[in-house]
Amino acid sequence: MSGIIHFPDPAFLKTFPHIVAPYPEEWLLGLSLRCDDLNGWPPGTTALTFTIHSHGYGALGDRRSSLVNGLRFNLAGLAGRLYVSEEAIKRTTYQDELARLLPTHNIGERFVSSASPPFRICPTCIAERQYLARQLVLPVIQTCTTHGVLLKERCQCGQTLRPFQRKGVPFTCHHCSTAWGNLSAERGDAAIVARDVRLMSFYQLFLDHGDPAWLEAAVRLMRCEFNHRGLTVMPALVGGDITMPMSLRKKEVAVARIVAGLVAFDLTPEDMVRAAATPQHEAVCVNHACPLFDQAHRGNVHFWGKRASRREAYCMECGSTFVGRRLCFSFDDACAPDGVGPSPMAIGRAQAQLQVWRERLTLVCAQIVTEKAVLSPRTAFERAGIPAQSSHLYATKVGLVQIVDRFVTEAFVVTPRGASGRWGTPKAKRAWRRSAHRDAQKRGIRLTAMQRARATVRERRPPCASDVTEEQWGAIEPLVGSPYQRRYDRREIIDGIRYVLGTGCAWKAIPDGYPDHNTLHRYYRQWYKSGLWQHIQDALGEAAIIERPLPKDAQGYRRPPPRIERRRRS
Amino acid sequence: MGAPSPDRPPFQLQEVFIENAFERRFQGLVCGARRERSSHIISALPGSGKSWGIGEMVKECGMYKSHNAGTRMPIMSIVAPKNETREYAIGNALTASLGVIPSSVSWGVRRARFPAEVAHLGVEQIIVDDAHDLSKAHLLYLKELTDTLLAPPHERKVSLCFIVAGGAHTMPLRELFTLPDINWVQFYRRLDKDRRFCHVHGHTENEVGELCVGFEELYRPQFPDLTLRRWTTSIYAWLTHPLLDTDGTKRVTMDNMNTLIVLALRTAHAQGETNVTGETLRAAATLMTLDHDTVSMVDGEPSDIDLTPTDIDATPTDIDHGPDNPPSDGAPPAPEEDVA
Repeated sequence: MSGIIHFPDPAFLKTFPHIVAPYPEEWLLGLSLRCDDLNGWPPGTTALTFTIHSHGYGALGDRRSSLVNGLRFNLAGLAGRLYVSEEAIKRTTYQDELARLLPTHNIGERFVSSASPPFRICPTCIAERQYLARQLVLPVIQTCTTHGVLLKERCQCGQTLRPFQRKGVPFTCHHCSTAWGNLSAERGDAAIVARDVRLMSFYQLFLDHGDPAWLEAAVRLMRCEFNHRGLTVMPALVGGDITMPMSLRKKEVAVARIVAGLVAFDLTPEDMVRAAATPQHEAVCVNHACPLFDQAHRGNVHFWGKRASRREAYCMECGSTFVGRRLCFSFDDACAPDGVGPSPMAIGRAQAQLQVWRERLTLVCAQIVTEKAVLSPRTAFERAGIPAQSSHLYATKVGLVQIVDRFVTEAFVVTPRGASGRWGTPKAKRAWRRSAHRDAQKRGIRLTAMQRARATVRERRPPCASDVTEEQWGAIEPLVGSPYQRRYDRREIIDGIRYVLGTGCAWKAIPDGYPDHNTLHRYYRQWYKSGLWQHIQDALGEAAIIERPLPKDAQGYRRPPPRIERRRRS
Repeated sequence: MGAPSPDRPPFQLQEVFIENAFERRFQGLVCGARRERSSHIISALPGSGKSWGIGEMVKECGMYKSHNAGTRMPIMSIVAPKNETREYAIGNALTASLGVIPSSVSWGVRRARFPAEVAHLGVEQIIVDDAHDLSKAHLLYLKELTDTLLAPPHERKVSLCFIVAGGAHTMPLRELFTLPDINWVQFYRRLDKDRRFCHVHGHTENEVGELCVGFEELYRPQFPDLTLRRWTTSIYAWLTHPLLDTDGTKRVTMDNMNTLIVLALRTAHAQGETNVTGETLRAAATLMTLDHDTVSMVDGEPSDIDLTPTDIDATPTDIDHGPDNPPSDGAPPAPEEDVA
């Protein structure tokens, strides 16, 4: 598209009165504010107009992630109104970079994670040309990469800078109306500027060339450094109060934390490139009796021990521990046929001990249920005299935690939060909610709608032909899985949506046992618009089910039909 | 009288702007007002070609939007809102001429900044078509707008032209502005001193001859032997019939002229002729005058209407209007008339 529209080109009336083109490396938020400023609109008008499912200026401020990943933003619509190409608008977000770097369903959550910075500006950039760089969304960065000026998040009056306001002028403080460009520009400390330069080099590396394998390689690299230096806590970054309580054992680590960790370890982008190019030597289970024997990249082997000299690993599948290729401990008889592993006597003792623990734990759980006391894995282990393992995963693998869960779910024991304030297990949490609802019904207590919704007992429904199989779920779980606790299981939601689409029934006519029809329709609408539903169907390897698209409204968006309000005649 | 040839393409109506005497007078007046930054009330008979002229002026005035150079709009042309007398209606019409405005920006927000916006766009003239539909609130806002632009800091004089449909003696806004009410007195004072109320006349007989020449050139590709100029006197006489020239101005409007020519050509085309005869023209004139309120009875066997998918689905932008593929009329064949 050329930059000039001459009347009577139809585009003249289909664009905003004043059109702007994005600067190189400009943030979408800055572009929308410049558009508002040039057209004389309140700040946030453009962003509000093109944000999907926005609920006003307040919610828009909380959803700045949509302006980073561009997923809930109508980029094509904005491109049409500004007479620029959609690619140019997409370059104001990190959508393409994040899509390459992260899994689809986590595209917005892991990048701006818990370390997401507040809204910040560079006063010099604003004064020069009202420019908000795309790099402002990158966490941990404290200075402007162009001017070396400290980024400001507060006005001189002390109020936090807000990009969106219902009234006011763009690029001004909502409280004292001071122009952002007039704020004092303080140069950052040389150490902080140098640190930010290094951080930006890693960000550029990941965003331009990275993929999920790079992130894994980065975590491995940091783990090696951590163990090699014999550290017990993560080092802090230079210049600040930025702490990183990061666990290197997590499977998923946010990009920002990875970058911060690499800089804290004084690593260079060349080290990162080298680590990404190096094939991963992942430990494999050396138990011959294990179903995952000698299979890499299955996620069953984890490491424990803080000292590099004792790099013990254990297998989640069989419970064996080993160092390198040397099997140290196992519960299986045929674990080491060549005799290198533990002796048969040691294996027998382990099996017997495990059996004793399981029996003892079962008795203890039954006692606790009878006493109607607090039941949690820690409490049960202590009473049973089982030594608390350092890893909850290990105890889970040998089946001890499952014993507690079984009592919790089958007996519907009230298991409120323990002394530490945390739930024992996720199943315990759900069971407590179900029991709370049932108890309330017995006592005749009227629950609020919210409590009722949360404590809904889902009747066990018979299996349906539209339910996804285990194999299919394994294929689509990476797309829709969520690390957070949700009210409804994603698998149940997919089953419900497939039931409605397959049978052609109305959403409200979905039978009991499936999640609420509003929830199903909301997920379907979100996934359909974002294109995730197409990915799910591609992953399932089946032809598209007859879609039931929503009708289009005057703006061309598919929205649910408006609610008809019937007014009573007075 | 021959039968229509099956190889001959269907009749295609040419809707193009023809520069004629009325347009020269009308556009000359409006452009002069823009140059002098004067305000007028301009009237012309319905069907004279006022809207066509305004459209052509707007196209040629050099409006553009640019990422770097901003937006420039020398002429702001709107049509008076109908069936809505409140101020926001004219505000919406004015802002809609600039482009798309988000629905979240209410008129109250836009109103405060609109004068500055108009000054920033470099507006030199505001033309209101069908100004006889303006309400008091509309007129007062236009007055407020021009006064605000005239005052500091803008200090910009903008020409205001109200285009109304009417005759020389029945100009809709003239009676309103001559009322002794203070608002209308102020409005009256802002109009041009020499020519406050202007009426642009239609075509004389000589000018009708020029129009005939223009139509000949326009439809020559479809009618190689077309000659209309020899019927100038008759055409002028028919189109100044009292039923068509109700005011007795003895002037011909462009709409009547176009209707007569198109009717005659369509009939000639249906008969397979390459020229228009006097009888055909007379029949068309009769249809416009004496039979202007005759009811046509549609009966008998239904005629075959060719509705191919291309006629239904194709949009004007999809059809290649090249020299070898002129746009199709798309109209069904004329029904058989049974004049009672």
